[in-house]
Amino acid sequence: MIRLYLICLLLLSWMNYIHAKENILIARRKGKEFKVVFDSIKNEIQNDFNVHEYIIRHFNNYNNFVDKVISKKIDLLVLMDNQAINYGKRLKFHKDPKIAKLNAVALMGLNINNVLKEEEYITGVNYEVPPFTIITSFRKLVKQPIKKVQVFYRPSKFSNEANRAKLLLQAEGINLELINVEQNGKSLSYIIKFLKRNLRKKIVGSNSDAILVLSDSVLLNQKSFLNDWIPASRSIKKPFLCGIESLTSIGINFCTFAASPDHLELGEQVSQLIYSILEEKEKIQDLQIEQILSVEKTLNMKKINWMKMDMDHSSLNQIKVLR
Amino acid sequence: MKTTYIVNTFIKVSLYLFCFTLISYHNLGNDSIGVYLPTDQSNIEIKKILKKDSTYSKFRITAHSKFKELLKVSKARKYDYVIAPESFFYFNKSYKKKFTFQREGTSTFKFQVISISRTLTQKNYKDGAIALLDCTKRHDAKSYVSYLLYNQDFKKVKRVSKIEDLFPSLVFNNAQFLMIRPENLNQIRSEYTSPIYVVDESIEENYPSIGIHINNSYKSLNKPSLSIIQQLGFSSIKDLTKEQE
Repeated sequence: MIRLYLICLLLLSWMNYIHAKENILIARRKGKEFKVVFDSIKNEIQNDFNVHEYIIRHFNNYNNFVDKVISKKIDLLVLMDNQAINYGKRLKFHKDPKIAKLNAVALMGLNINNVLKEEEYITGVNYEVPPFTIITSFRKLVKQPIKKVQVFYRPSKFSNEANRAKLLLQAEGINLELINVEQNGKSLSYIIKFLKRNLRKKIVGSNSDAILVLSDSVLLNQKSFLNDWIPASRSIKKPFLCGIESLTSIGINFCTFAASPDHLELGEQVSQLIYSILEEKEKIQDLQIEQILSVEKTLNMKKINWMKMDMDHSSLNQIKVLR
Repeated sequence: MKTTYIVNTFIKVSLYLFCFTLISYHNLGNDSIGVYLPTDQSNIEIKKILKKDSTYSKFRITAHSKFKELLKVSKARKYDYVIAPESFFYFNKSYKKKFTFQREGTSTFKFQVISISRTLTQKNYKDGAIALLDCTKRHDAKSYVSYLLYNQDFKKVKRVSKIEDLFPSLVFNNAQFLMIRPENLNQIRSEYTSPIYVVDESIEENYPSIGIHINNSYKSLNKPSLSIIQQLGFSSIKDLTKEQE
């Protein structure tokens, strides 16, 4: 009888333990990078939390997402990609205050810093690799000094980021020259005209050591990309540095160097945020939007050879070199 | 035709199985060693270096690029030997240290606590976050830092997997302090020119050690050759069993 009682007690405490675990819903798109981040987060947190997955497809919608949040009694959301972040933002209008105030961590979306400005219950990690990381990572690889870097940018969207990067790089002895592409107007047509007239002229006329290419789809619009950016990068012997690996490919022959997100480590960075919220009970308002910390580096050696740049060959074994 | 196909497939599968068994048998015959060192050398480089040593080349060497991988695999597979930082042995009593690496004749060093803000002092610890290269389980990180820094506590302890991510975590204010090994600090100082302020230093901590699983304590293990020790970034090695005698 006592044995039976003990077994029941054990069973009950086990059930309580299972029940006590908080539920996390990771909303994501299909795709290799999303899967890597998902697996990385799951691997880190699955011993302490119940991890649920919601894949956004063309045939499901916001209501399906909300149904999943309710049915799984979700305690925290992880929102990957712009669509998932939009879903998360819409939750604040939900009639149930518990759902409306659901905490969330956003990642892999565009310009998360700006997108989450007004959000009380969502924090996140920026997906764009900071200029500081891109430029100092490249500086480690080359023997020639990097003292001045030019960057074309839109103040209407990237003013804070650009000024902060300028300040951080100043401490590194690097002058980041900010070139405002919205001087004549903010619309796409004005930006295309500005780049057509000034991109090449500004780069050639400067004593800059490198050009930083921001991951901004307006700056890199199809017309400017084909007519201005690509020809400039192929004719001016200065390294173009960016935050997207594919732009360094030999085929495109555009950027010399990229520091792009390390997705495995991004998952671990997000996991630490999850623990801060659920275990250490930190309030979202007290958590800043974090910058992505870990990057993968890719070097286009063909461009390096074309520019006759001297490399520190000892540091090449830890990066991806394209030849 | 169909019979020939089935027979062929059967032969192929049997051959695969035979080869697999042979390889497994061969591997099982050798002792295993798991390695993680907090250096900027890659795991491939570390494995290559150990492969040059007459004793260690006979082991099945797994060099990990992250501390947590060593922790995970050593728990599941139970390496016969490990090469790991002190924190591994501090929290894991399944391995007993046999040799400890040395630099300039000493087997200990002091972690440096640094900041990039001139105004931050030890008084800011309790409201601040400190980042360090991952060297404990998540739950042990806070107590390990506290133990090393004379029982001082931080609001938050953040673990970073790669040495190269340590300084950016300060620059982007993910943490206000870094707890860092002197050699890693020298590396950061050579790569960045931003002002760095040393706020504090830890108690004496041992350099990494070579340990034996307690189930294998009867086994003997030679120390690596001096050339191997130097290639791993140290100057000598201390035999702890001799010290005990």
